[in-house]
Amino acid sequence: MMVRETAAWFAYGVSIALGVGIGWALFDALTR
Amino acid sequence: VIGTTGAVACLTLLFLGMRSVMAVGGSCASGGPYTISQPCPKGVGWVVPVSIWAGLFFLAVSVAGAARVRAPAIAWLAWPALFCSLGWNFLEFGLDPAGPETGPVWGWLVCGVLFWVMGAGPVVLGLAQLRNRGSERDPSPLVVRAATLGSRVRATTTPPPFRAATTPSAAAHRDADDLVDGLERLADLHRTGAIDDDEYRRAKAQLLGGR
Repeated sequence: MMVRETAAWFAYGVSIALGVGIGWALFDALTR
Repeated sequence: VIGTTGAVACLTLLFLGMRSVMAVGGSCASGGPYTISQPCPKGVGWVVPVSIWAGLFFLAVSVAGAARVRAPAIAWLAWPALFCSLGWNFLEFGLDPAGPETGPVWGWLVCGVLFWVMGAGPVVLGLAQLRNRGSERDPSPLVVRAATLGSRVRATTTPPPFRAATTPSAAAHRDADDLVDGLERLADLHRTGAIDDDEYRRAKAQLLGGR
């Protein structure tokens, strides 16, 4: 249970970091 | 992962799109048969609306995915994230507007404060509620004392109950309930005349640990 929850939080962290990176790069590419 | 990444990416697009519009004065237009005084920055005209709808879609994917693998639900954080990030833009550009304008733009500052209240308000209330729930779980010193008294009373009258599966705080609550039950029963006996004043006083003192 503990491992599962830690993995979920880790996935959330990676997703958020990835989302910000992708969003920023996409905005730069689309509005240049 | 896909849902959360997509939702965050869309929120980032929205945040940056809003910043780019505010950087050209806060309003812009593109297309149509009119003379446009302030054209929109390239791409923003469609990036902003698309990011709103795509963000909602990805948020739904994120919620469904989290429910499927029974991960902690964090999709509600999208609300404070949205309002606080856009509110930040209002506050930043309200204090230091782009272009020839100088000084604070009060309309934007009001929007910024409102957005922060809407975004952060529920979080603050939620945290306060969580804290309350936490204190309910940890009994106050009064409850612990009442529970101790109750267990002492019971030790003289009944054999110790089986407690292996209960936590200390659950046992404390149960003991406090037992004490209150005992006092109520005693008061009933006194009221109906089954015991006189003196007997009631002595029994009550004994129940509260004065033996």
